[in-house]
Amino acid sequence: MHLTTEAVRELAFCARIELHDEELPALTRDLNAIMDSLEPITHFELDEVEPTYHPIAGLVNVTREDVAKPCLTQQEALSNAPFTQDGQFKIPPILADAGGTR
Amino acid sequence: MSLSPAEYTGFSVLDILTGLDCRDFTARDVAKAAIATIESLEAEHVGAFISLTPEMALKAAGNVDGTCVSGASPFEAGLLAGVPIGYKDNMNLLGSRTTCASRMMENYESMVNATCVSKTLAAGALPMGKTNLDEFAFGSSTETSAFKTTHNPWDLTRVPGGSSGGSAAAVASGMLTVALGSDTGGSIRQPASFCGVVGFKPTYGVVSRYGVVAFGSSLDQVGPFGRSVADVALTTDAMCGHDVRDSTSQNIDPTYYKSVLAGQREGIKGMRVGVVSEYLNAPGVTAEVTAAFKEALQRVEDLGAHIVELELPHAKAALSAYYVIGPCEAFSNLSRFDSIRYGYCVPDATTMTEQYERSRAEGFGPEVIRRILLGTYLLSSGVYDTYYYPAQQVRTLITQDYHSAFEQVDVLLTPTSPRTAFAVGEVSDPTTMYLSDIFTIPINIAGNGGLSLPIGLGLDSGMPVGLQIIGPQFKDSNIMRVAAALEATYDIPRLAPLVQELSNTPGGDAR
Repeated sequence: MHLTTEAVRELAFCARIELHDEELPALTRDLNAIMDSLEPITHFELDEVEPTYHPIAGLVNVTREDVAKPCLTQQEALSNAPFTQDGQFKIPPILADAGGTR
Repeated sequence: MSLSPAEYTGFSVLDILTGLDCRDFTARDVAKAAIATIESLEAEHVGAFISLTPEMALKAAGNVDGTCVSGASPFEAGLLAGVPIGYKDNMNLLGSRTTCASRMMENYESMVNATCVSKTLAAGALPMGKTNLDEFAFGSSTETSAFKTTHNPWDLTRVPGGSSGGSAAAVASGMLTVALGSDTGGSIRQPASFCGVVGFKPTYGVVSRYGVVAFGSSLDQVGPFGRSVADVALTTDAMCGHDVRDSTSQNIDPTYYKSVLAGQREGIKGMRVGVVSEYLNAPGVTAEVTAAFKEALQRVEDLGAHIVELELPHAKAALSAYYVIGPCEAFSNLSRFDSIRYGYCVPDATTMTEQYERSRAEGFGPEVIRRILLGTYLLSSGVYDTYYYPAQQVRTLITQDYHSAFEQVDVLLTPTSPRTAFAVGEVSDPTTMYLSDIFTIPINIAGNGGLSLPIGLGLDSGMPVGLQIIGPQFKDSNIMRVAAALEATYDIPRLAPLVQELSNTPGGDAR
């Protein structure tokens, strides 16, 4: 087995997703089944094989000229925000945050 | 002058362009017929759309008609002048919401036009709406959509495939002439196969992904659905090419339709067509898919092409490489949904961490959460070295397999999916669901183009079977040529017959 329910709880905290105790067993079972199916990846002789991170051979960094271009206005940028105040994104207090529901 | 839904649903892109050119009908007639067809089929039967944009379609049609009235041919108004189109709802269209079929994005108003959207609109297409998908495109059946189940127009009890299931079903039912989808592991080709239409994933880099919500950035590619190879080629011509806002997009000449014409005129005599026999022994390949595939090979030979037996020794690792790379990239891309700048947010959190955790738990569905956690685990210290890095190395081996294969052949053929469309609710186990993409996933890993062509109905299920045609990187012209030549040998309907009957019932008059 790759993951215990405790390990899944820890992963969920890292990914900032709240999980309830009753969700953990089924999720742990699914994740372990998926991990089992990934087994073939560990069976190859890979010494000296370079990794491929994207499919376009020879494409390295692509940059543009460092010139300012039009962008969203402040009003546009805020228009999809759940909560705003005084032209800014509004969030709960962070200084008193003891680390959530871990 | 007006068009009935029965006339409209039979139209190809060229039929519309020619009809406009001859003044047989106007783009507004086409838009109204499309709206009427959607009204008769969508709500009670297919469920392909998350949102509809009839006003935008009528306005776009007015613009096309204005251009035509001024004496210009519709061909000058654009390759898709007056052509009803739908966009997968992970593509931003100004004036619409882009939900990704997720509670997380339920109320998100598009801030830009995706490049594939702006280019097709500039070509004169009529935007009819946004189509359903698996949540954030994670899935193979469109069942993980947070909003609705889309039904396969060939049999409404079955899934349309996925993740671009809404686009495939809308084209197969005649509601749309063409539609766009995105393909990370088969999300265009597999639903095209399930719904009996043509679906094309171009080579990675052909179409800009700007404005399309990212899933796996080294795998994602945008492509079209249509009821013919020519329609798919014309749509690709309208949207391919370099875009400064997607640095992976390349300078591509719009010669897809030209390649189709070459296939129709000159055929494929002498072309080398590769086949991997051991693929037919892969898990879950059904007898009816094998039979249809072998019959297609016979037709390819009859057309004068040479069949070449090939081996792709590392292809069997592609599925596991994909389920390492995909979730890792998805984990990274989905970290942007922070409940602050946009997206679902619980209203009553007292700390920032609580707001993140509860908003993401309530906003994301179970499959999305599974993949995010999988990506989190795979990228964690120690696990990274065992899975993530080796997966990137295996990717090199898989890519090399294709490079050497394409030294020997011009295209490769496989079934698109091991089976035809399954029933809604039939496949609930994630690892079984993942197997429906075993033939499409390796192509995203290597970055090549692939097209699914309908090759008839399965002898057992009566549902459409698809043939996948794969080409060398940036030589999608090979795919178009073979697809066009082979398509001409089949006489099979692309419109689902059930829906054709429904659309002929009263209430179909355009308003």
